[in-house]
Amino acid sequence: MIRKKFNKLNNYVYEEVLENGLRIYICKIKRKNIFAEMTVLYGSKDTEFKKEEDKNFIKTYTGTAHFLEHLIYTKDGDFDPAEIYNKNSASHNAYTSKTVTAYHFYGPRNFGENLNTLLKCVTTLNITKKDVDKERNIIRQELLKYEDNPSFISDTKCLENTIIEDSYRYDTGGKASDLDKIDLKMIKTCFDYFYKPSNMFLVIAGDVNPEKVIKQVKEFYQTKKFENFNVIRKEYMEPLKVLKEKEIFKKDISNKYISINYKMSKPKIDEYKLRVYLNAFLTLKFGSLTKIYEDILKNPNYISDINFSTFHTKTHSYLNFEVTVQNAPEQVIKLIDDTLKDEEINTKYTEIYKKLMIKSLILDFENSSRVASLIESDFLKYQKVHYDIYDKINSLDAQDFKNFIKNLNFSNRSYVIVEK
Amino acid sequence: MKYQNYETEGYNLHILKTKNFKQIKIYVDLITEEKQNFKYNIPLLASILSRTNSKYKTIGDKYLASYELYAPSYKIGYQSSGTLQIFGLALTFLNEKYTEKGMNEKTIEFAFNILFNPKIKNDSFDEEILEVIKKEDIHGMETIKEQRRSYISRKLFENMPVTRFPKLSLNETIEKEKEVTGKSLYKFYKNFLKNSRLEIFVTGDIDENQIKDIIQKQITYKPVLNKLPSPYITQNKVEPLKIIKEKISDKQSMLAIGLVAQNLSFFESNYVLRMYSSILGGDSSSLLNKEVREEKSLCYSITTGRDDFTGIIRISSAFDKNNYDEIMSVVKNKMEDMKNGNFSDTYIDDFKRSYITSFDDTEDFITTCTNDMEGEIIYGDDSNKDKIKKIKKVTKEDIMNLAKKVYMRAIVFLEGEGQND
Repeated sequence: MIRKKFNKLNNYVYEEVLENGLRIYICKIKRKNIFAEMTVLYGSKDTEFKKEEDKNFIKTYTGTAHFLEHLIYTKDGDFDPAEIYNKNSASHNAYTSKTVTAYHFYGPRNFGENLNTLLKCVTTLNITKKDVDKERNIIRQELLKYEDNPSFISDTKCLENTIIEDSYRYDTGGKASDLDKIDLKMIKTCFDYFYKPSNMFLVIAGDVNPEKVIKQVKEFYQTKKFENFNVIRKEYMEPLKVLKEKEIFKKDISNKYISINYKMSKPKIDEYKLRVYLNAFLTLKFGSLTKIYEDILKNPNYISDINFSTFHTKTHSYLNFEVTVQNAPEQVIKLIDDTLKDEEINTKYTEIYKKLMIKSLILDFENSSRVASLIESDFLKYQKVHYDIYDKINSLDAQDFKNFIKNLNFSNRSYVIVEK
Repeated sequence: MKYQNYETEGYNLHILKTKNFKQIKIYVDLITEEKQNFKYNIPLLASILSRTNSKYKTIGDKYLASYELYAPSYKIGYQSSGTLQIFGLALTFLNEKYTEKGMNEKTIEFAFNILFNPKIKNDSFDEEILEVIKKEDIHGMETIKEQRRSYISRKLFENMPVTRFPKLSLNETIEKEKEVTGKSLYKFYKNFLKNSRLEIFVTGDIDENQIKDIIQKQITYKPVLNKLPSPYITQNKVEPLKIIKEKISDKQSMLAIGLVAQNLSFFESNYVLRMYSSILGGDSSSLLNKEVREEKSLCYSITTGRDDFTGIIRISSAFDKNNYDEIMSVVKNKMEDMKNGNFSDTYIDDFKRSYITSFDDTEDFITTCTNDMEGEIIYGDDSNKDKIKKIKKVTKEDIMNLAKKVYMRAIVFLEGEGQND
């Protein structure tokens, strides 16, 4: 076990890699509520994969990772995870994203039993066809809920129109038409391929004894055997252009919901800087210190602010905008286009932006789920935890940032409007 | 955790000194008895105070000032709690021990200024900005049906006894809001300050005397410690069930059911009702969720929520329209089961354990600490120690007795088109 210190923050993380490949991160903070999350490196985009030695890829349907997530907490004989967590007054939940599936619990009591329950859930899958069929109906209701939501429609359709090959293009819940095709065999295959300690990592935050925790996890896995093979995920040759530049969907609503994605080759720059710079760029262009923001507040046509975010695949970076207006959506799209292409940017605010990042970082250590999320997010984005994050933020340089944004290209764009 | 109460000139200050947090949290609560005209004035007041200010010319200037203070989180908010209306400021910021000396005072000054020093010209708020806010708000009300969750809530509560005065319909609210002017709103604001009781709550690692002085400087008017009524509304008559069914163009249907618990004592409102609501539909192991979701796969979730002050319980779900009859039948059966005690004692034990455990970690969260203090002072809530003692006293008979006083008052069903149509 190695103890690492977050520079200038006076917080420590204990790192361990077990013989079976499971990576463990424990952040000891003075919080009675202990948060533990097991993240499986298997998400909705992993629809085609194979063993290294195999020739052909196994093809699965969209939404399989999410379906499997629904089944992980299934009662197995006397073992009822929901009942155990309930008895221990701990909350438990799970989520599926494009790249991972994660399971967590959060509670102040009986940590040992809660942890063993989590480990058992992600290690064994004893389910029947009946379990799968029952859950299918519940998932159908869950997907229906989203399908009626105009923001969801504009967002998911825009993503499908932006990305051509990469399976990242599909929503994590999958296509409704695929739901009936997912069966017990497919679910079990995915479990066997991905739910292995070497493909997971465990993050724990709270007032725990790291040595005791590591011992407990080691003991849990002592008798468990896992088939040792490498899984290869299909790589996609994603072109730079978008699939469809514009699409309008009709729905019986008064407002107009707009989603826009700008697609660019991933800039060749340090991954940390890339993410920080792109977010800073959007904040300085559309955030609360800008004239655009001020104008929107004075214009009742805007039902929402211009919401912005970024996401990245292996080869591409994307800027996403979502906005709801009463009228003239094309004008809003033009405004966003023009603002992005306008080379003027107020970099005098970069110091303030750093201040905000520092504040957010300090607050991450106030809460066990938040600090766990910081560690997980670092691991997923950079395959390591940045213990020098404080210094990294402080060393961000305005001129370097300015040079970075000069080379951004906004010519590949797709947008979707949902309107009456 | 023990907090100190300080009665100062016309207001009370309550301070919880703790080293548990790197942040400081402050609630500035203006509390008064709720009235009908609050419904259309209060939301406008919250918006105009947030968007205009005497000190900052533009919103950008205000944000810049806040970012220089390490971006404190602040919100002008409001809530109805039974008979009471609470309007005010919620402020959370990094303690200057982790930023720069002098930041605590500057941050408090910045945020209090937003609540107490609005931009006023000729006894009026900025008419131009107010018109924009009104247009946005009225558009939101006119298109509320498209915001399904808001719409179903509004429809349900229009038919529930949530206030002591007659409720305004949606159209009446819109018409009343159209009449609000910069001058009338400023008059409303001044009256609101005059008639409200000011209670301030502070949690954090602070010097009490220093905070008292800083806050004192920010109170720019003369508050009065007005008396407040009890927040509880006793329901004492049974109204006939109202069923509202409307068609919507979505695939999924939505259901909201309003239940009313009558003639509750303080003990029942705060402890037995909580347990009743939780056993019925509080979480994944509740009676409703177990049968509707886990056994019959009829929906993704079915939950209950409750309001201690009015004794109202709301059941919410969304599902395919064909499942309506079956879900309604389960709801009715489970309500009967609650009356007849047809539920395992394990539910009671689990709830008590979970409730008691929830106090284990109150010191983890600055918001919980501040809310607990606020609850004791404003609503007369029991201390956490007493809450634990009292919840332990709740028996199965108490729950059954309460269940016998619960009746179904309203059902709102927004019928979707279904997935196979």
